Parts: sequence; structure tokens; C-alpha cells
Amino acid sequence: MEQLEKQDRTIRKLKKQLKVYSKRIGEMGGTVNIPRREKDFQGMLEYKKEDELKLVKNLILELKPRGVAVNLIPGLPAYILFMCLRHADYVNDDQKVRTLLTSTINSIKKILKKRGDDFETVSFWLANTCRFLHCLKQYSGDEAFMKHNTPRQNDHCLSNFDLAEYRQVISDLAIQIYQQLIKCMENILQPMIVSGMLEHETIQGVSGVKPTGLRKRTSSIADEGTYTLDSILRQLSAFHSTMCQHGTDPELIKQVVKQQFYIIGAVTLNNLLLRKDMCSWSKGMQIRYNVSQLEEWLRDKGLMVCGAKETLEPLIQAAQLLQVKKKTDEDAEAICSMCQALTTAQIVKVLNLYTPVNEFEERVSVAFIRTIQTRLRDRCETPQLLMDTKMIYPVTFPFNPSSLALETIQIPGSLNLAFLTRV
Amino acid sequence: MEFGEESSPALAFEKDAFELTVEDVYDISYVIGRDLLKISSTGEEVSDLQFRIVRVLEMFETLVNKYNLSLEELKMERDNLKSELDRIITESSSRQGTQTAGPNQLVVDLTDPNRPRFTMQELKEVLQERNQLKAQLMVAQEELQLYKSGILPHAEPAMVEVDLDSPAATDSPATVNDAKEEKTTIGKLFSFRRK
Repeated sequence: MEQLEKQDRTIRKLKKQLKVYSKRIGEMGGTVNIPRREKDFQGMLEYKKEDELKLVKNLILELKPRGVAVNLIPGLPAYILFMCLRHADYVNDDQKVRTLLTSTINSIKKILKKRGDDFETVSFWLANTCRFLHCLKQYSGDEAFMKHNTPRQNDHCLSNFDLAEYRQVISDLAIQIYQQLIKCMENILQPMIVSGMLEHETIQGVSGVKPTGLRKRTSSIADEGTYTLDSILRQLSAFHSTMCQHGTDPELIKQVVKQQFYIIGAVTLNNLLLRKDMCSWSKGMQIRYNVSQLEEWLRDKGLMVCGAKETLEPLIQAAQLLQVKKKTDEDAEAICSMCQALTTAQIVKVLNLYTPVNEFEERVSVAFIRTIQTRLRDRCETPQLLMDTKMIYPVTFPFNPSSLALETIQIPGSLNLAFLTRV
Repeated sequence: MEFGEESSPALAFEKDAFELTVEDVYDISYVIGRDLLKISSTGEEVSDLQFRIVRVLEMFETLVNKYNLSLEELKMERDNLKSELDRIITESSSRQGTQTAGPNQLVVDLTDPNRPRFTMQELKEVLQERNQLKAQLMVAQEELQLYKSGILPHAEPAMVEVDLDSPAATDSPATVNDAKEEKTTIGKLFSFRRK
């Protein structure tokens, strides 16, 4: 099997070289310079070595994440870089290949350092780095990555160099960018979460106790600079829209959203576990409403299956715990089977903090709490109370080949890359 | 449920041409790019069209940008001129408020030591008095000369007394006349002097 694959590869390589040489012979015969038509282009871009600095400057360092060209053709910078790489490989210039890849990686890192707090920039380069990675795989000549290629695309595979090692470096770079992106989003979402998920009251007449800060607010528009659930939803939509426009892989978007929801759930739960005024029946109601709104958002964006909803389970169960009866043994059993996603420490804390809304309701008895603790003593779990808000789910970049035909790509004028020649 | 539909890129298509910003042009680019993909996922059939659209949208971006910049510049200039005009108006009106002098009126600075202080009548009286005194002085000087040079005997000189306290109007003709008489006598005696 392997031998056949190897032979296949060699045949392809030789066919290509044959094509090149026969063309050269034809040209040496002094033929007229016929303008090359679309089908004569081989999907490569030639540039002089001394223009490499200009290339990375205009295409990476100074490129704006929003523009006519990059908006109309998401991933265009990645395709252009790959086409330059293809030509360096084609002319068998290993130094050119190396310096191009190194400059590319260093320039992207530079951007991350300089503008790592701008969500738009980080998202743009995550999408393009991933696309570049996919190109490296799709055109590597590896059978595993060529399943969806057209014959033409197979012709465009790298002919001289095996860049598997560089693929690893670029994959690591992508992980770095992803973590930066999560950090970026977290910084923007953080101030909104407690206010939007816990403090802002959207359900009228439910709370008998004076809510913290905001009373009787019906509108979802932020008053006096406070954040509401709607603020959070709008922000999530903005993130999602930007990622779509950059051509981010759908599978990657799912992972990002899952991480976002985890943060929202964790921060909310932690806050609830530390504040007595958040542990009431009405707060439980409010939280469940807010969670349902978040789920509605997922449905609207077609993200129900990304694992995001599941990350909210601890919060959902805490909200339910605030609402169920907490008196009898049967209640205790129900609670223990319901709160699978909460640790014993968390359940006990909520019960201790639980504040009745009116004088008819009693606080949770010490005896009841002891019953719960006894029932759960056989659980093996960490004794920690708070959720880890710094945790980031490990990210993967599933292979996502593109159907785009490289030979059709032209260089838009606004990118200032006139020194590149289509080959 | 509107989950951020207000910021949907397709909204750019509904804007008025003169309200467009470059960000709208980018939104338009994204939507058109997406629509082109629906026709041909590989881009082969539509690639020429695709890049021509890119070119047109680049030109559009330049124009929209230029238009908005020019608009901003003109607005700033207009605001500057407006505030300049307001400033000038308030300044000139404040100046006129303290110094409105009607026709045939004079504004006088009271701290000026050379300001006009006396009436015409007062001036006239003083001048007339001076003239009288001057004339009398001349007569007295000439007479003195005569006595000094021995021409006239040491008789009591006809002294002309000028009474400055009485109104000048009644005195002056008398004193002037006396002065005149003296003058003609002396004049007669020294008529040879004039030769």
C-alpha cells in the first residue's frame, strides 16, 4: 500500500516536471509571447527575495482585519502566502521556503504582541493561520488530506519539500492565538456577567426582597451604564458575526462558543456561591430565565450541538436547588440525584446561604444539610467550592480543506502587493 | 428575537448612498462574497467576476472615504467660521455699548489732563483781559524808558490803574482808551523814532 502511494507521488512529481520542461523547450523555440489565460496559471506567486520584508509588512503587519478584499474572500492572506510558498517549493529554493515560513510566523507573533487586545485582529489571524495550516495539509501530497481535492488541486501539491515539521509549529502558533482570543473575549465579557446574569431583574413582580441595586427594570436596555442579559447576548452575537466574516472554521467557532458559555456559567455560579442575596427562590427563577435565553441564542445561531449548553449545567442545577423544596428526606434524595454537576461543597454552601423571600418561609435547617452531607459522603470529588474560571478547554483544529481553485486567485490592488507575479 | 440583527452586515444595502461609511462598504463586500460562493463554491466560474467586483468595491471604498473626509473638513471649517463670526459680533456690540455718542457729541476721557475744561465765554473773558494787560504793560514800559532816558520830567507818571475786580466789559473800553491816549502823546513825542 505504502509503496503504491509513494509511486503515485513520484508519478505526479515527474508529470509535473515533464510539463515544465516541455514548456521551457517550447519557449526556447522563440515562440511569440502569448498572454497567459486563466487556465495557464498554476496557482503560484513569484517574488524576489529582497521583497520578502515588504511582503510580510503589507500582507501581515500592516494589513487591516477589515477591508474590501479580505471581506469578500475570507482567508485571502493565507491563500496568498501559501501561493508564494508553493512557488518557492516549485523552484526548489529551500532557503526561500524557510525564510518565508519563519518571517510569516514571526510577523503573526508580532501582531499578537502589538494588538493582542483587539478581538478583531486576533480573530482575523486565528482564521488565517488555520487556513494556512489547512493549505499546508491539503497540498502536502499526503493521501489522507487529499480526499476532497479536485485533480487540479492535486496537481498543485508541494513537489519538493516536506513541511510536516512546520505544520506542527504553525499548529502551535494557532493554539497560542486561540488562547489569546479567549483571553480577549473574557476581558470584554467579564464586567457584564454578574450584572447581566444575576443582578439585573427582567421578571417583574417575582422578587419580594429588595434586589441588589436595580429595582423594577423592565427594559433590557442598560440603564445608568449597567449591563443586562441583552448586553451579553449582543456581545456574543458580535463575536460570532466577526468570526464568521473572517471565515473561521465552523468547528472552531463551536469550540469558542463552548468556552464562552463555560466562562459565563462559572463566573455566575462562583458569584452566587459567595453572596447571600443571590440565593433566593426568585433569583433561581431569574437565572433559569436567563439560561433559557442563552439557549435560545444557541438555537438561533445553529449551535445547539457544540457542547455549550452542557457547560451551564452546574449553574442550572444551582438555580433549581434554589427553587425546590428543602425540608424532608424525600426532598434530600431528590436534590442529591438532581445535582450531579455540583460538588457537595457547592450544594451545602447554597443551602447555607439560602434566604427565604418572606416571613412564611424558613431557612434551611441544619439537620437537612447534615442529611444531604451524609447521603453524598461516598462521592469522590475535589473539596473545592469555586469553579475554575481560568480553565480553557483544549482546542483542536479539525482539517477543513477548501474548494477554492488557487489558479483563479488574483491580487486585489488595495493590498499593495504589485511586486507579486502570478505564475 | 433580535440577537444583534441591528448589526447585520446586510443592513448596509438599505442605507442612503450619502450616509455610507467605509465600514458599510466592508459589510457589503462580505455579503456579496458570500453570495458569490453560493453560485460557485470553487470560484472557477465566477473568479473573473469576483475580482472585478473587488476592484469596483475598492474604488467605491476610496470614494466613500473621500466623501466622508471632505464632509468632515467642510463641517469643521463651517463651525470655525461660525464661531469666529459669533465672536466678532459679540465683541463689536460690547464696544458700542459703552461709547455710543450721538451726533454733535464728544466723548471725553476724564483722566486726561489735557481735556477741555473751560467754556468759550470763560475763554473769551480771559483772552480779553490778557490783551488789556498786555497793552497796559507796553505803555508802562515805554513810559519808563522815557523817564529813564530823562526825556520826561520826574513828574508823576500818569499811571493807569487797572481794576481787575470789576467786570472787564465796563473797564476795558475806558482803560483801553486811556492807554490809547497815552500812546498817541508818546507817539507824537517820538514820532521821529519811527523813521
